[in-house]
Amino acid sequence: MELERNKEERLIIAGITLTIVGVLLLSTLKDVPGILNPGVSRLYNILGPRIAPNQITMVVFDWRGYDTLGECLVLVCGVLATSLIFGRGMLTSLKHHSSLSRSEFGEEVKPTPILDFFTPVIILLLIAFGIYITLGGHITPGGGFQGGSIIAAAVLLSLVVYGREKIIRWEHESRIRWETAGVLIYIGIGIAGLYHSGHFLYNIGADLYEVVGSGISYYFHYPDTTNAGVLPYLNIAVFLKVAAGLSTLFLVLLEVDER
Amino acid sequence: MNLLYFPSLLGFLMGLSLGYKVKFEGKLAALTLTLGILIAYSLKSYPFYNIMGLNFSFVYFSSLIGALIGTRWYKGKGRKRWSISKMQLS
Repeated sequence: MELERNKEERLIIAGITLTIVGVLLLSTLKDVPGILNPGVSRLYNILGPRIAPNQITMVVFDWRGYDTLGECLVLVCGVLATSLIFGRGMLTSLKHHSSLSRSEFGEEVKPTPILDFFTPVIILLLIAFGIYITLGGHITPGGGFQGGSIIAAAVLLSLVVYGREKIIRWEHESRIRWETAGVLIYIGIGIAGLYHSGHFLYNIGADLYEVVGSGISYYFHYPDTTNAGVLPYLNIAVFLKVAAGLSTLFLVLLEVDER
Repeated sequence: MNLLYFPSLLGFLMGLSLGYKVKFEGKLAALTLTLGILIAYSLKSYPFYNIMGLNFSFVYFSSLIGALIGTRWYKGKGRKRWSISKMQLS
């Protein structure tokens, strides 16, 4: 009854909102020629080589850094939803054993000698490879997401071969710390850019528009021969977040079967 | 200090923090190092990071060294702390 009474008011509010949005959208149309000419791609091509040799990283982290932050938050939401639906009590329970270390008859399953011998070696090689991919993100195809996924693959390998908590000891609290540190570093760099230039995630290390003082720029400039600025640090932030987030996801999903 | 060593240093620290979480038998270290050198040579150095003219991935190698040292760390303090926290929770 009350809904019926307020129907007219709600329609009026909806109408006003739609009018405002419509006017704003139409007003942007007159600026479109200015945006299309010289064109975003051309702009990328002119400015891109002055920041990082790998233009994909430059676009993903520098000009679309907001979008990348959103993608990372999607992963956080994914981990959160999976943990809530499947993993109640699994993350903190140390008594709980993985279904993978037991057969369907409840017997303890041990890895074969070959797996037992080579798995720790491969895990260490994978860890080094994940870091290598992350630290080269601004000059070659790769970056934090890929590097973090490789670390999570190392965790998955240990879970598949040995079951939970046999070879990689990565507590839930530690994973939370890693993930939080990743997000805080990313947002911190973004806010530093906002503070110094007025734009969130402005690359204060590269400082293409020379709006940041050289003193500040020096501290945020990644010390190599490229002008990547804060991009490698953002890569490391994403690496921390993805490595911890995906590992948590694997831990939860691998134990679903037992429940 | 040559600035090109900075990623290797970062890689070492990251390897240390991740290797700390891995239980690893010391007898496998020689095999891991040999494989690591082969992989680092196959990966070659990154563009702009050709240190001393060697075509060798120092970032990969230093990360592996960091991870190996981290596993040694696990054997000492880490394992003790782990068993304490396990006792507290059980």
